[in-house]
Amino acid sequence: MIQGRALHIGFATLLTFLILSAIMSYASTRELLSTRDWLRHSELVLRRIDEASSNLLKVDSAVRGYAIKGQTAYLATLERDGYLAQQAVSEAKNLTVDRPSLTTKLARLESMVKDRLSLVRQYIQVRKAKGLAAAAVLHKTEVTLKIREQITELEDSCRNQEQGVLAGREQRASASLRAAMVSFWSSTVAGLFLLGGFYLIAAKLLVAQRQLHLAEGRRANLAEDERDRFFSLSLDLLCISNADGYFKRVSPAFTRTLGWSVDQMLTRPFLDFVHPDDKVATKAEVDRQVQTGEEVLQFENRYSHLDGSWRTLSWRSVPQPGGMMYATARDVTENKRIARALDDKNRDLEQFAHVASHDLQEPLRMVASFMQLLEKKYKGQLDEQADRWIHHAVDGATRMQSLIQDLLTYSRLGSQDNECCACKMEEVIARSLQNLQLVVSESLADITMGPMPAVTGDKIQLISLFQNLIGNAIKYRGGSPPNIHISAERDGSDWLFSVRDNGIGIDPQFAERIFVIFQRLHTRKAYPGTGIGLALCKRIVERHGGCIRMESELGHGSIFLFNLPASDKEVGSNGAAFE
Amino acid sequence: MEQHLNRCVEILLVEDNPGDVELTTLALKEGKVSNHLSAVEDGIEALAFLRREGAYRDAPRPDLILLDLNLPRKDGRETLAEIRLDSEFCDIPVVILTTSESQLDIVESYKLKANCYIKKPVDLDHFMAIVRSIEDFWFTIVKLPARRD
Repeated sequence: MIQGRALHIGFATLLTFLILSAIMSYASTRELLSTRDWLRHSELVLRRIDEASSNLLKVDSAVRGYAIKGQTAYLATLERDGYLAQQAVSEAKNLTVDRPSLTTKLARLESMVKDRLSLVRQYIQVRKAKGLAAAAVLHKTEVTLKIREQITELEDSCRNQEQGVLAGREQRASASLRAAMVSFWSSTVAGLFLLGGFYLIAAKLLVAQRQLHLAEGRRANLAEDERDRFFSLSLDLLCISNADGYFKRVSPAFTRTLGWSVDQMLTRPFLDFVHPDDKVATKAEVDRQVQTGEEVLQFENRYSHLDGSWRTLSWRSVPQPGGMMYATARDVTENKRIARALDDKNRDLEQFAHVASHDLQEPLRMVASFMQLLEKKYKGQLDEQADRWIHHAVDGATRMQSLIQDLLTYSRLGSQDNECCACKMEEVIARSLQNLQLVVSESLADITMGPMPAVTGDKIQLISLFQNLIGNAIKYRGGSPPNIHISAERDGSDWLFSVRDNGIGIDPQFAERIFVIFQRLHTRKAYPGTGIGLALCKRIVERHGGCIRMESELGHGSIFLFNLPASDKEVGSNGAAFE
Repeated sequence: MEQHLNRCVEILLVEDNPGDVELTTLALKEGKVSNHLSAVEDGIEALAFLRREGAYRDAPRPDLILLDLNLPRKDGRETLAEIRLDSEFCDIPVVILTTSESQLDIVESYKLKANCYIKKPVDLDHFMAIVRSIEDFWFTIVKLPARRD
């Protein structure tokens, strides 16, 4: 910017200077020309005066010639020369109208010349009439002599005056010539200096500009270089496709993933590489994308590998106006295989659960049933020890039975997903309390709850969640009747629920352990159960995308806290979704 | 009701577990209705029994079938489907008596026109009670079609 301004200023200065020196040169040239005119003018005046005097001399010699010889030829010469002399004086007078003193003098000269010429004509008449002697007397009269003398004096005076003027004019002419020369040279030198300066600035600017361009070019090159490197390095397949159905550019990852060379990829329509079953869908997707201009976030199709196998690619692409498209693809063949393997594994597990539900329970039922039968039929016939043993066997089998049942319930949480919907938690809690009706009334529990929102979830699982937590709060009560409070508060896009009780509490060191399946903190005698409840709760909460934790102090009750996704999804203020 | 009390009712138990067979027999023995229980081990035997094929030439036509689902060779589902397709036996009430609690099994059994679905209880007393209530329900409460043989 600064350099640009310097350039402008330099240019303006140079232009101003050139205009000024042009004006000056013009002025001095004009001056020179006019002085020259005046010089010539003065010379002309002088020449006319000289002409007048020389013609007057000629008149004198003609008069003398006529006087002596009396030839009339002299008269013609005389008249002519006299006229010329008069003419010359008149011209000189006209030339000097600008200087009145000289004009006056010349006017006097003019009349004197006229007088003299009339004297000459008088003389000629006398000569003609009375002869030479009479004429000679006239010739030597005072008037004649005096006028001749006066004329010569006047002529000299005029000549001198004009010569003085001429000298002054010559001086002025040489002065203005000098001035013109000085002005010419100074403007030339200054002009050259300015031009030089201007050139230097311009050159400097040009160099700076070129360096800037070079730097930009280098930067651009560097950026391009970096892009190219990423392009080559990327594990994902990067490509640009044209509206004609060919790839315009593909990254080396194509070769690494599909085996085909870049040239092979570019010289065949890309649909050629697509699995026959995926061609229609691929073409439809590309057409749709080009038409709507929509970005595609996920589209999968199979591409052929050079070795004849198929690779599943997951695409993400952005169309450009004109049908061009930038796209990236990821080889998800392996992920798919793993997902399939996982599905198989899950199916195996389900199968296992099924097997457990039938085949494992069957023999257990037999053990339990026949032990009971034995007990029933032969009680009292065997000794006390036998009765106790039978009791242990029955108890073990029954426990095993409930363990299997619980395990099944737990594993079904993973495989059986009911549809998620917006659940009003007031209803959910009411339903779980209904299921707990007996223990609630037996224990005289006081259960309260704050305003309840709606959450997105599996209603049956949520009922089971609250049923387990409230059930535990009642089961592990202290000396006084249970006092349970359920509340919910907004936590981002979730609701944070808490179930607080006044029960026996849990030693904080077991805060993690209580959520592990079949882990128990009490003997079966003190509190019966398999230890499935909290593991189920944890699984339910986690399947809803939340987490559960416990805060407690031994002997001072406990609080179970967990979050569930809000059904309105908006990050609202507290109570936004309350009924 | 009277007709049933006058004669011995015929029950076919399709059960591969001899323990269950014995328990069922015991339970029915103490029942109010005089009954005769025949037990077969799988679906193929059951169908042979119904059709009086082979060793079952003199088999009686059952008034009620107690059918387990998981059986060797031909399972309870296939057996039920075949019974329901056979015009000769399709009117015999079939009670599914199984250890499975699976919703899938329950739904499928009713689709195959089982008359009812009962899960075998773990507890012995419950089991006994249930078998007896089956007997009570089907032979004293429900009206069945008159015997054809």
